[in-house]
Amino acid sequence: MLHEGLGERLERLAQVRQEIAKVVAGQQEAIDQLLVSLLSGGHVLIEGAPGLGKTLLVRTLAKVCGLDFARIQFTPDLMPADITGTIALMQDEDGKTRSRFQKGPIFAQMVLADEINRATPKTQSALLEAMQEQTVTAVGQVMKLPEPFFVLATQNPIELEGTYILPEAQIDRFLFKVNIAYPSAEVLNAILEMTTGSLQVEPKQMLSAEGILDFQRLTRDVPIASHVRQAVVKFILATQPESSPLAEVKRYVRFGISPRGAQALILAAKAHALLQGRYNVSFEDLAKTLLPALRHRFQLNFEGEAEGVSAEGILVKLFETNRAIS
Amino acid sequence: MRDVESLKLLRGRLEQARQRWRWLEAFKLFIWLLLGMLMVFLSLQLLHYLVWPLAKPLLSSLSLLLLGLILIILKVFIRSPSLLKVASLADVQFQLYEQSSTALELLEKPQLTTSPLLRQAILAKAENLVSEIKVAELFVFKWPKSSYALLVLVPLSLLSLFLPQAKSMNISQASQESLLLNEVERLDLSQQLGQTAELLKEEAEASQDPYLQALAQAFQELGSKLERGELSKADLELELNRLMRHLDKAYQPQGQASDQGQQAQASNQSSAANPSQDDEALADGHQKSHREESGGENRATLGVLLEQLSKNQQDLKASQESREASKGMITIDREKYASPMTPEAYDALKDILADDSQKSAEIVGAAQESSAGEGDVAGEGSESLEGAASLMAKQALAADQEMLLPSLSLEGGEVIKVERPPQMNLSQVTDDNPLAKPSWQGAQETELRHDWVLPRDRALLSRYFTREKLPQE
Repeated sequence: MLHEGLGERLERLAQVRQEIAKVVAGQQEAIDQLLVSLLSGGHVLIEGAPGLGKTLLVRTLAKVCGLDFARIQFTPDLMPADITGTIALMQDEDGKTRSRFQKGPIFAQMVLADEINRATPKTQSALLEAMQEQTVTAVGQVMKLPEPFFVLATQNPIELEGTYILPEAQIDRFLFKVNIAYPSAEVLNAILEMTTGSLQVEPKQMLSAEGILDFQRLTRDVPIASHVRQAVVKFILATQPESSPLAEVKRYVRFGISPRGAQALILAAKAHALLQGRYNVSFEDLAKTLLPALRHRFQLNFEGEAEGVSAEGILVKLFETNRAIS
Repeated sequence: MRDVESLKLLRGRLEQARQRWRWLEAFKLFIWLLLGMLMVFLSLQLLHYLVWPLAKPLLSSLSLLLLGLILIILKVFIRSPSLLKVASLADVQFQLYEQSSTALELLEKPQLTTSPLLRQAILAKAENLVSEIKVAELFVFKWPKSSYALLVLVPLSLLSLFLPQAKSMNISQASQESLLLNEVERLDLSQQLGQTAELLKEEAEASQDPYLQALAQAFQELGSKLERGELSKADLELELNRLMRHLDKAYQPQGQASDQGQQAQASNQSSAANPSQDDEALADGHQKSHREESGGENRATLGVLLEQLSKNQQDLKASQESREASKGMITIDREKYASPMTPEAYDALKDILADDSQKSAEIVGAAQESSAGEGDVAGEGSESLEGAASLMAKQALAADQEMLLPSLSLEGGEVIKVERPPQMNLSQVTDDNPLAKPSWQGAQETELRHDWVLPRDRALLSRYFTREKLPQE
């Protein structure tokens, strides 16, 4: 793949999309967002009701991309060592018992942290630290996680009892927050047809770890015109209550988008451009990646929450305003 | 190499688009400028017509148009969008997904990407984009809605050019015309005056009449002054008026003069004294009859000339009245410079100056003949000049100097106006005069200036003597 031309590579990306769509019906937007995260090298927080195919989606993605896959079911009694690994007494080939570091599930290339909000903050922190640093420290040793390292965490928005809501600082570390929508009748019909019959579709591997790393490098090389970047800067500043020209932001917003949010937006837009077969960032790419990249970084204040103000609505309004100006 | 070609193509198309933007923008601004210019023109025309004659509206408006055109050109070139801006507009218009602007920037800033694959791919696409950027569709020509206002303003402006001249303008022009004579008028009139002077001179020589000689000389001098352009219409009118009165007196029948009694006789004698500057020769009343008898062929010619001069005099008077009317427009100025000498008083004084020269001549005559009390004809409140008059005569008064004019009742007390040669002060008159009453000894010379009086008229009004305290007779 490394010797392929640009056109072939983009063609391969399109094939990846099609391959996933064969298994996961009616979730094209979610598939694109996961692929964008993968190309950007960021992690994804998936939110959706149970039974919408979150786990299937992640598992299929791992298979198509040719990545090691590990699933961690987060529970209140899950300990950090259960994720990162622990010292275990093991017999070697000579029959002697020795203590050795047993790697945890975090050492996979693609990790599904299922219902992350059910674990205690201590365990959540262990995962989030590994996501940020891409290393694990155990028994005095710093161990590098495999590349590419891609965490997909899910959380159930309806069963909040007995959960530990992720703090904003930790949520900020996810590149995307993907909302899995309830399927339409047409999609539901397709899902039923695909999954309840005897014929099971098996996805093919279309990418490799090296291929993904190559795509991640290519993504960072995608150029963005200065006026487009300038528009992003203006938009990000406009989300701050202190400097926003929009009265709604001043009134209802607790804090705006951080510079990490801006980085996420541009990086995601670059990946989206590649996914669309283009070589430069456009406003369309920014618009498409706006909500998944920023919705979990934009917090309303109490008044905004109480009045039922839509944070996403404000974001879109701000973005369109800045786009029109630029 | 391919980069350079791509750059040329893309830049060329974007430059075309920018050029079109400039023309369209210039056209739009020009329409607005035209609207503004026409509105200013109409406003100036209206002001010019109704309120006050301002600077020429058409010239002012055209100047504004010229200035505006320069500003438009400057704005269109200085404030025209950059090629990057044009490219981003094209991206929006033709849904190019920021490809043209990115390509243009990439051509100018190669560091935008480190991937040669991406760079080549973008530039290859840029060539295709050139065909997609349609200049005429990018900046579509639309007739500015503001131009509809031109349909109203242009006819209005054209109509305003054919409006009759404003009243104020007419007066202003009349005023200007009344102040100066044109070349033809000046030469024609001076010629007439010269001919009259010649005829009078011949007649004076024939009759050995110094009075007519003096008149001839005065006409000759007037003609010369007029030829040199030293006289305005108003001055000419005054002078001509005066000489014509003297001429009337010179040819007045003897019987009529006798009927008027001794005072009139003195008046005639003194009138003759003025033009000739020869007081002693004028005292002789016999010469009048001689004039009556003389005549001849010159008389008829002189009659024609005098008729023409009389007509000219009437014309000049009419123009003077027109000028006075125009002065009447400046009511505010008169109020601003209000002084004890009111405009009405000034007008009254001017009338007196013009029409009452005979009286002043009487004073001179009377003063020459009498030693005391004879000069008290100037009006109530005036004092006899007694010996002062004879002293003034000795000071070689100019022939055309009026000696004493009636006093006028003004605010703040009586004012006696005395005109005298420029070299003479009242102190010279009173101090050297042993017969002057003590109350006049302390009189001070006060020069009054009225700003609302035209400068050339100030000479007539410039010297006044005021008594600090009225004498207890």
